Amino acid sequence: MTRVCVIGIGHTDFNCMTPDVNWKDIMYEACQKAYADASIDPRKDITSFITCAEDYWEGFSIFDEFVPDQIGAVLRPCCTVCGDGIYGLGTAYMQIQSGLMDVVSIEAHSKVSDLLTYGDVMLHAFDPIYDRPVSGPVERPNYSGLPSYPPENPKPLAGKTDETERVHPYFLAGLEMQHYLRNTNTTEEDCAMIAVKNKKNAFLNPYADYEANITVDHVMKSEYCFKPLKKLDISPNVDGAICFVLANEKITRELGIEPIYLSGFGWCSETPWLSTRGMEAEYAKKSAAMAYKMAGIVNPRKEINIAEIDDRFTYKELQHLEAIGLARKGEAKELLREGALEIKGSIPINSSGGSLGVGNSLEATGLQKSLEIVTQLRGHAGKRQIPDVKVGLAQSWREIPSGSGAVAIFTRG
Amino acid sequence: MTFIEKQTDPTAPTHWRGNMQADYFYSNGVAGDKLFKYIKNNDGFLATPCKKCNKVLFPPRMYCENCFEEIPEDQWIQVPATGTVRLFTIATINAHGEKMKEPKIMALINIDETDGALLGVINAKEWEKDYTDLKVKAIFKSKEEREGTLKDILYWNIIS
Amino acid sequence: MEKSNKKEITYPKNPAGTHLRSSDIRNKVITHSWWEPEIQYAWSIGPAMSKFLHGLKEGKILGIHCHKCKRLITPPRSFCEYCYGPTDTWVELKDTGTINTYSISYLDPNANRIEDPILIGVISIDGAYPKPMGFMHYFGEMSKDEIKIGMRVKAVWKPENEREGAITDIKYFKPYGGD
Ligand SMILES: [Zn+2]
Ligand SMILES: [Zn+2]
Repeated sequence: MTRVCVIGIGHTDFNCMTPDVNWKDIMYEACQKAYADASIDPRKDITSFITCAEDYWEGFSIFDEFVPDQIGAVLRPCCTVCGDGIYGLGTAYMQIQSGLMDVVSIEAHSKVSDLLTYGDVMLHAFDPIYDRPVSGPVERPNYSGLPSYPPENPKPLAGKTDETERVHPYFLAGLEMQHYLRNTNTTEEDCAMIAVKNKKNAFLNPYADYEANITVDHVMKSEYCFKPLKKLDISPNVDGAICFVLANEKITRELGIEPIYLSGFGWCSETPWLSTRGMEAEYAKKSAAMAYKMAGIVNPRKEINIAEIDDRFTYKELQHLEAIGLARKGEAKELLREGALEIKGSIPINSSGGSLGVGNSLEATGLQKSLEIVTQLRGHAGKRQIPDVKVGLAQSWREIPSGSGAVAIFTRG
Repeated sequence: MTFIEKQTDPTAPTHWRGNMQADYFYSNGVAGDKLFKYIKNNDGFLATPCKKCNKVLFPPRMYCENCFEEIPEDQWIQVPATGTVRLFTIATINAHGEKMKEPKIMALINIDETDGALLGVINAKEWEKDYTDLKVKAIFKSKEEREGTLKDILYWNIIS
Repeated sequence: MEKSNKKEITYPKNPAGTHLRSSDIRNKVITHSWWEPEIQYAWSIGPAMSKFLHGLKEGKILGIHCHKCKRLITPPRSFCEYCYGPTDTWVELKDTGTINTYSISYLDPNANRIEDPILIGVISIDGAYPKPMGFMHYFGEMSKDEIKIGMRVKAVWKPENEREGAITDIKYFKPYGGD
């Protein structure tokens, strides 16, 4: 069986808003850069194209119909994975391993600044019968129960009155954070240190948008949004696009590219029922176990040099670290306090700045994590370069309210 | 640079407004329908025990997600609409990202006599208090007003 | 897989489920939940579409060249999907064209039956190439019996003060005699 190699990476800058370009433009830019990086012509050399996107984030139904032109896939095999970009890597891995495809392009992006009602779209992902109604009113004024609005009584604009007030879906993270803190004796200050660390790392990452020189005090004094979750515990949204090109080993050698292997991959979904879910990131634990097995990793703490861990909320980085076995349960805060998770520490986590420092790029998150790992393995990480990186891990979660996630392990040849 | 021309005029048209109108009727499902019809006439819940897993599932289901066995109709049980706060958070931000007029205490409540839980709003206004492990009771709308949805529960009162 | 590894599995005895009609919801035979999300967007349109919409406001249809593929593309875009390179030179096109295909719709946008059908189709805009190259629009000043593929048409514009930089700044395309 062949091995699967990363032969190209490309990305846009990440910005809190991008009014000058549309979603096709940012996808084109990321893909064009990845194809240039791999020195390939997408119209001839790429055999399969994968995008990872979700209709409601984009704002139109059947988004997969709207992607071939900007990724170079017109009249070519093309599909869309409705999920985080990291699932695209897994799909590409299977296509290449099966021998069906030789060179595969994977794209994911965020154009979240186009979306005016982020909270409501996320609430729409909650169970409509048992979870959503708890957030607030299910109907808006003027709602007649008809499937559409007559012209004389049009849909009211974004409700801001009391009757239309729904709780932001991030309250679920507040619940989970409370569970994590209580069960691991971790403090809110520990979580604050994650925000400080990642926003500091982001200074060394030219494409990051939320670098900041803040202290634990800043985080602790930021307002409670979903107690114990505070404003600065939450990664702010960002626009950006990323493209990866994967290929089989033969083609990689022919192109004269030093291989970086996608050596392990795993994914897992928990029950969608909040009533029976453990709130312990079991999805991360199981997906890591699958990826370790595939990559032949027995002792992750010793064998993995660097990791990018989903940090959409500060506590998530600590919770995920323990779930994937880079720390024992309750030990993540100790590693953090010792400085082990810093760029110069023994197991650097989120050297890119993570979602707290780069921004929450929605479905591009998994690829942003993978991008940092590949950049580090190539030795191209500039001032944040970590010496002697051979094995790196990228992990991402599909965010509120999901219990799904995946892990990718990359190895330098 | 990937394009020959870029947008440099900030006064030029930059965006297009639109919405996605997507209103739904969700049937509650066979198990959900049974539960909500019960709630319309009773201040209590129904739950489904899985004999194989030795777990009482709540909300009730047709099948057990763990062993994938069907749960026979004659095994459904009645449980009280009371529970214990497993987790809570004080939410101050609404779905638009703005501060709400008044915070809401959102909780995940372990339902008594089951292994399940339900999200709920706690009817209280002490923002510093620890609500964990408190006993709570569902307060329902009047029977005439009930429609057979989760909205028939107004909120949860603390009973100890 | 080895035969000995096969597991005994059971399955739901009532897999067919319950037959339901929409009237069962209306008549409250079954309970149901409902939800109306608030979902709004302000999609960035990017440089190419911005220039195109600005052109429409001025009563012009703009196109853009890909010299490599010998294409003159409208609606214009920042890149050519065939050669995957950036597009290059802007051109003002005529507001005339040929009906490439059409449909006669007896349903309004809310799927209500209508007497007077809506004529809608794709127009190949003059000057743009290779054919077909153009966009979708309404047809007017013609009957459902007159419309045909290959028919020459010309844009009927809204008055200048009513234009807003939208494809609907063109009201519809009407029959066009002169060439
Ligand atoms: Zn079971
Ligand atoms: Zn071209």
